[in-house]
Amino acid sequence: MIYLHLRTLSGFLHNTDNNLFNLNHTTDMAGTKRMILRVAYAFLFLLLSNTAFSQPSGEALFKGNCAQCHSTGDNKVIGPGLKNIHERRDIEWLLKWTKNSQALVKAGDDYAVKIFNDYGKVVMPNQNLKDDEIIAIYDYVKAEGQKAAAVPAATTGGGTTEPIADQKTSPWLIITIVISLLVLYRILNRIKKGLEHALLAKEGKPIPEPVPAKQATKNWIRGNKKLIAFILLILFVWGSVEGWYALAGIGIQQGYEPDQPIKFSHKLHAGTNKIDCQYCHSSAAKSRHAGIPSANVCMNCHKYVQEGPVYGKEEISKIYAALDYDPNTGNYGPNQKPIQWVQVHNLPDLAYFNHSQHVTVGKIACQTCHGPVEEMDVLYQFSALTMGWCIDCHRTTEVKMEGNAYYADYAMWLKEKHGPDVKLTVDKIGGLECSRCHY
Amino acid sequence: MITEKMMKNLSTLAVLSFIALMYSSCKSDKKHPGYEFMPDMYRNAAVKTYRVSDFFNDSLSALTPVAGTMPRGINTYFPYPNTNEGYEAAGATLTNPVALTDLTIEEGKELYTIKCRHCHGEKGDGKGTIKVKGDLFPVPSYFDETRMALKEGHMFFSITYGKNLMGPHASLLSQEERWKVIHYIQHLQKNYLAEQNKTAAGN
Repeated sequence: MIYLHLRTLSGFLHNTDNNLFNLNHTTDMAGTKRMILRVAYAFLFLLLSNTAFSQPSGEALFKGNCAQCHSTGDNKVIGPGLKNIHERRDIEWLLKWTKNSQALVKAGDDYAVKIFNDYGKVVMPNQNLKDDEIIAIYDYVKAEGQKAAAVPAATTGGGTTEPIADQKTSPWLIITIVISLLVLYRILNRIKKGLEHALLAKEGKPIPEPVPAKQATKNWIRGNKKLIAFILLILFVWGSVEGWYALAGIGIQQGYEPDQPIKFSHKLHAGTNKIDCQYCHSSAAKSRHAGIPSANVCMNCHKYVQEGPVYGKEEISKIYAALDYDPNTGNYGPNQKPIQWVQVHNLPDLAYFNHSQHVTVGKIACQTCHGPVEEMDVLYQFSALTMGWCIDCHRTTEVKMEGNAYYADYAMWLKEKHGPDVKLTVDKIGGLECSRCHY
Repeated sequence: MITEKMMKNLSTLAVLSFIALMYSSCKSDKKHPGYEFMPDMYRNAAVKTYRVSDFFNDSLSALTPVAGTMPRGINTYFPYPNTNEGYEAAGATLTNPVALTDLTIEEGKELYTIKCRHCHGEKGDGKGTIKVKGDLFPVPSYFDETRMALKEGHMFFSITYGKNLMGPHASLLSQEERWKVIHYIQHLQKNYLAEQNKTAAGN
């Protein structure tokens, strides 16, 4: 039992026959050391947890043997969801079915035949487990089902978690503050004037004629010509610099970070889970386009992963909606619609760019141009994608010619032409020719 | 009546508002792609990959291939139906047409690293990198009894159509690439067996 706890602790959830059990013959020093360590871990675990002993073993067994095809909820994975299975079948039947489902089907058990036919006649493999292990699994399934039933009631009571509010200050807030400050200034000024006038009247002095606002402004301007000239000069310089950059930035979309129809996080997929870029963008190695994965690629994982860590079911259900997929039955419907992602990198049509040329032949890492995508929650354009940016890279990147038979003679010829010590960069093989990219 | 003075004031106002406009640079909004000098030169009329097009009725710019046709240069012929019988038939009859060389194993490894590693693990032991609520994906090891006994045809069938939780990978790997990956998986299994025998002999 302690071993099973250890397996949950250390993440060995998959193999029932993993090597933790097969160490009986290790009588050497390392073995004893490991034994001591394990006992220590177990002790630590006992200190840390007071939970019942039977549950985690069921959990580990379930995840190791059953989770590939069954969920503890209602939804179909490969086989049926096992929620409330204890209400549908008694434990004797479940023991028989788990050990040898085909025997039950062949014996003509009504329920067994029905399940077998309903789920596409996929044979459930016989599970080589002991009775108490199977019972532990079903206890775990039962507990999970009851847990799932208790959770929604609790969350609806406590309110849903809201996404973090936009940190940016709204311009309307600033405008409102400025306007109210101005109004306050006017009011206070009036009060001040009124008090001054009252004071003058008390002292018997004549109240001065009010100067019209326009005249007052003119007077102020006349009195402060130098200050105004200085302010205007600063505004002009600042405006020119800003205007210069604004004009120079036309046609450059660096930093563009549009909202996408699904809040897909590259940080989670490529960063935390370390899925290779080319798993989803599989055509980057073969074609001009890196490729937006079709939704069937999403489903390779999201058939099983139905809830995300941040947005829960909300965002993943948009994939299901696009595919008209029912996660409970596992069936695809006829009303499928494409997901309209927003393109981030908009190279002008007058420039030709080919991904495979850079990824497969050049062996350039995706991050060279796209930046630290594995750290981006929302994808943005990292590089400027200007012609100068392309050319800079072509001037400095060396072509790997060693071991490439295609380049053998060419490399020799280039060395003859440019000298033996010259770096064979991309521009040496025509990487700066206009017609390489513009035609 | 517009007096000369008012005109002067107006022109001052115009200059000031022009400067103010210049301050609001085009870059301030990250959600907006910005402006282009000559959009009709940058974006021509041809239909682009993945772009919405009203040429056909369904807004798609690319049509799905007619059933039964095959793209030029890509072999998609696979006569085994996606059933248990098809699985067994593929296992019994299919053999790997790609020659087993160091190069194909190396290419298989490269493909395996891209397409399989995150679930099946670097070594093929089922311990990949994807975690769901703190748990690894429930992926079987290549080295248990059932998987060690698999024929290459079974493997090819499973990659093509998917198996249990695994989805179909036919769109991600060409037939040739699938066979190369199988070479690498069998290479891993052979290495595992050799290691097992070595430790058994050592004891």
